[in-house]
Amino acid sequence: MYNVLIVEDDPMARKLLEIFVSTSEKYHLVPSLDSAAMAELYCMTNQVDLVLMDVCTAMDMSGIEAAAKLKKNYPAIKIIIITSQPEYSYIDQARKIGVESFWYKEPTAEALLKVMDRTMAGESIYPDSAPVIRLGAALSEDFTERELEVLRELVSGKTDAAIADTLCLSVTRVKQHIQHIREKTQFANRTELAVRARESGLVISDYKPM
Amino acid sequence: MTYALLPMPLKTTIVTFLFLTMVAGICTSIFVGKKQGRVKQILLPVCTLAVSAMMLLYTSVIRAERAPAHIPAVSLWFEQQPVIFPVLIAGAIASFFIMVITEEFKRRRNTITPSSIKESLDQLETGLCFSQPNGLVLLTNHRMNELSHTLFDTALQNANLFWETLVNSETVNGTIRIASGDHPEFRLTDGNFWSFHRDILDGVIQLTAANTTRQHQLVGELQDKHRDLEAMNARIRSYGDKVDEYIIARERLETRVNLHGFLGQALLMTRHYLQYESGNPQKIIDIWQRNIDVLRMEAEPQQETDTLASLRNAARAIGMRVHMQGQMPANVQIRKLIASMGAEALTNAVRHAGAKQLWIDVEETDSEYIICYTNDGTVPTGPVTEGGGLSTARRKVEAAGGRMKIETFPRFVLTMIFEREVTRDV
Repeated sequence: MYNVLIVEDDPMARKLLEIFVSTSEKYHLVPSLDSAAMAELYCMTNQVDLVLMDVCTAMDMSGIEAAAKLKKNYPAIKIIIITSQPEYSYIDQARKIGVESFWYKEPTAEALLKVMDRTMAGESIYPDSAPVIRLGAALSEDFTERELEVLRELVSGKTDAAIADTLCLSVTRVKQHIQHIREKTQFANRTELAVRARESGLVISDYKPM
Repeated sequence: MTYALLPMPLKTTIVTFLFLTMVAGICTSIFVGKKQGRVKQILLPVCTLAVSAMMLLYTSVIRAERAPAHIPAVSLWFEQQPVIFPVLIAGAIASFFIMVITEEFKRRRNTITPSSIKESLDQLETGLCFSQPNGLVLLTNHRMNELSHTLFDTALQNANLFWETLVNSETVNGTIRIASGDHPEFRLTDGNFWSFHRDILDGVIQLTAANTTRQHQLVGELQDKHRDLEAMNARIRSYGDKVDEYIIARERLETRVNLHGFLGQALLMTRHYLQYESGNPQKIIDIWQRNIDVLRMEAEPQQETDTLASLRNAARAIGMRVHMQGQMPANVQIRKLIASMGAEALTNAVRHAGAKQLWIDVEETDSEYIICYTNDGTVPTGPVTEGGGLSTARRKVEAAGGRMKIETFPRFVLTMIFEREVTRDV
């Protein structure tokens, strides 16, 4: 039986995950955490075999950041990153830090348990890509990586100059990227673009790829 | 018809015309510039020809007036030639003079001369003044003179004095100094802005005055747009906070719908079991048990989990204790940072010092929040190297406008300091 630690800040979602995991006799739940900030400490003092790590957790602690520390200090612990956000960069970041598997939340226990079983069997389970979502007249796959980076800074309410400073671009280049995104999405102005992008979850402004 | 047969008035007219042509030739040679050597070379023979023809024809006039007068043979021959001959000579010479004068005007129009340079400079919108290093004005234009009068009520007589006045002196006539130093700038009463600049060009001092009114207008418009953009970005940030709550609420609703789906599943399985007595009763009991747990959780009032309480609970779960002293700041961002730094401090205290307790002391001064973390573990024997966790924590603290410092003697103390009014979003 494997000890499973769930790190999820939303009580309802945490309860749902606990229900899913408890349906299998292969897994034993240890007390769940609402913040990834405590995950390393818990793993340091308790036997944990598998961590189901949400990306956005309490104390504004990134699950991916915590997973990177866990993989560095406790490589034997297997980790599954779980999220409901379609932020495109999560998958790449999870791969980069060596996390075993990645799962987009689904309302069935079977899907999660299947990923858990295969992960514990030594497989690495990743979705092919982030979910394709629509933003105005464009699909998420229509944007270049640079455009999505600019969009992430835009939804945080930064000016063009601040975006240019953050991404080491010229202000003119930032304006061009925003113009291209607007042409693709057909949004009337940058405010509408920022609002719709934020709602879609395509880019999470609080999250900064490592 | 020959010249000899012409009536006297016509003869006199032709001679007079040739005389005037000769005078015109002499005047033209004076009028044309020095560089028109070719014209002058032609003018001399032309004038000579005109004088010769005039003299020859004049003899015919004299003979008509004074019959016994001696007339040279060449004059007699000339007056017997067709009248068109002297007329053509006169016409050719006249055409030549017209051409010469036209070309001269054209040349003057297309050639740069001192006066043309002055005229051009006076037409410029920009003010210009060239002077020697001692300030002696070599050339200045109307605009610069006008500005000198407008700003200081004095004529521009010495460029060095004028520049010193531009840099230091008070203005008159209601004009306002906008900038001093190397680029003095003024606003005139008509609303125009003028900026002055001084350059040294191969021993010549150049003063320029540029009208920057449009530039100021554009800067003003840009500032207005920047203010609008800032306001819009602030609205986006504000909206972002609200949309986060909306997304969380939406996800919770979806989760709740899923949980209720399990209730339906339990009902169907129970009904099937009761009807056909088939299936695993223990499994059905487990499903009902989970559903009851969910319903109980839903029935309980949702309490916002305090991040610091969360830290304490997590510490208790691993057999540690977290003690908090002092008043926690109201700022949510700082509270979150205190909690996340507490988790980092707790992890390090257990890993490196074997600690069992962590103290978080919050001190509030008039201007700062000072948060200190200490533990009951062993004291570090040397300087602490900031690894991934502490360096990430430092980055977050500094991004929020705070500072972080670490002391290792006489005990390990990790301190965060935030100014009370200056805390940025992390």
